[in-house]
Amino acid sequence: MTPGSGPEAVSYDSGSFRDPNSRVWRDGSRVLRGLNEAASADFAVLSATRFYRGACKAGDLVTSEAVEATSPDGSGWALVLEHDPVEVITYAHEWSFSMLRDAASLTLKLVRAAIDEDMTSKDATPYNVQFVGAKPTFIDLGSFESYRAGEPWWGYRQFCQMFLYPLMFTAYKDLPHQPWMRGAVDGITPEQARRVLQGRRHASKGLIPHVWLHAKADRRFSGGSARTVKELKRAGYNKKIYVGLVDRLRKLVDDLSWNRSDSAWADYSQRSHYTPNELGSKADFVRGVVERRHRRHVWDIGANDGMFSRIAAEQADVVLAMDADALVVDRLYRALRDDGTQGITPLVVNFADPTPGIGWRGVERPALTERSRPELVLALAVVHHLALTHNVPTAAILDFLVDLDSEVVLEVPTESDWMVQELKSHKRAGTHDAYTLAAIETQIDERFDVRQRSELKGGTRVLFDLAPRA
Amino acid sequence: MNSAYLDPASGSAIIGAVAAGGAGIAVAGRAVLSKLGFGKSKSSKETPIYEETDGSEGVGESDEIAQ
Repeated sequence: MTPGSGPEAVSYDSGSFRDPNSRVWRDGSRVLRGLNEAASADFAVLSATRFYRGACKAGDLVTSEAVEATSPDGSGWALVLEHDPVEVITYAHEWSFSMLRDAASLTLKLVRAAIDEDMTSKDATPYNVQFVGAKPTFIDLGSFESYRAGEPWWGYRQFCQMFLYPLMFTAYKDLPHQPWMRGAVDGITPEQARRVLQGRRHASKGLIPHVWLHAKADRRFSGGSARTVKELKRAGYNKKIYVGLVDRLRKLVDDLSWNRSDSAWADYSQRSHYTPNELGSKADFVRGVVERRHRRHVWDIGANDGMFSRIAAEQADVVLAMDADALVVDRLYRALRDDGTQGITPLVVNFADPTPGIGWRGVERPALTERSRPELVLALAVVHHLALTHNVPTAAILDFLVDLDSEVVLEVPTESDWMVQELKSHKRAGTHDAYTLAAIETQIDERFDVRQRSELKGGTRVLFDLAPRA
Repeated sequence: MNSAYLDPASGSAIIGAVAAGGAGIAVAGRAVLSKLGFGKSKSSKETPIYEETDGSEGVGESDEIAQ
């Protein structure tokens, strides 16, 4: 599942095994989904619905066509679908608040539309949603099945654990959801949510049913799900109640907001420490490298307001605009979403602690480096933060970039740069005396071919255009 | 590992009805009472009561009427 890495053995996607009715595999750039008899029958019903056609047309649902294909293990799937490929798979633990909320809202929108035509979804996980640029798209057609009268929405619990509680953590407690989602592949349990969301301030905003009562019911009625569903059905559970739940959830989700207005880097976009000329020179340097050729994946590490991601997007299939500051990423996402910019997916990633593989065997949801291989990396004004704030040796930072086997545009603030001075002042005297431009240039020369070198800001910042050694 | 596939969990199924409000709360209440062994849910009407009696068919009331 490593895109762009050349021929490889065809195998099932490492995250596609939980639903026995449907599995996904890649064959080169093709994304294929096998459906067994039951899932195939559900797809036949689904594909005949108005909501399916409308959602595909709107880009809310991945488009697919039936194809002839051999599965990795020779399984005789009743039907094989080929999906429009998503360039880079990303996860909720890399999304900003608004991205998770939009993915949640899309999930509920589809579930709501489906039930009108007697279809339901058997799960509700953010892993079913992917971002194409800054637009969420639902990718798991195997989630939809025919609705059986009297049954509840099977995805409700998972929706709470993987969408609603993480969103509530951020909206109500100003807690970033990413570490929680990264820490548990199944999300946050009702009891965990209850403990974190203590207090009465937000008691009217969905906490009582979805958190307090849910946690209580979880403890009181563990096990025997099938019987409970039967009892609900006998007690009169019907489609109207199902619809009521989904509608209320959607209103709740759409009303959630994160009111944080400040963070360490939220005002960096003003870039007041650059003169317009200096900023223009930096942009010209980046554009010169970008325009050299079209690239499939570009990484912008420390993207902030996405100024350089937008330049890179002019010559790339997709730019991952990554920043450790969740508020900065959220603002960028909203800007991209609202102005309809395509080809840039913002992500919350701290490169001092980048996204690892999680879930079954640590590969169910692979590490970022397993999902995207950049052909160009923009590491602008980020190396000093990794070196001086996180104490990552500059040689180790360069080794990481070498391992990506990518072209790199690297900005190195020198020891006389004001930000370097500021960051060094937070540490014990002498801790970072080895951080000098001369030492870093030597390390660069040992690892890369330097194509260009350009000084900014009176020589306190240096831009390097680097190529991997053949 | 994943409770979502074909297992909404008992508590979640009940709260899903409660969270729907209105009729959902009443339905959840009936289901909980049934689960706890109090009262009888509408389900009992599916089981003809005379099957449990001495065979005097047509004499017994439906459970719904008995309630």
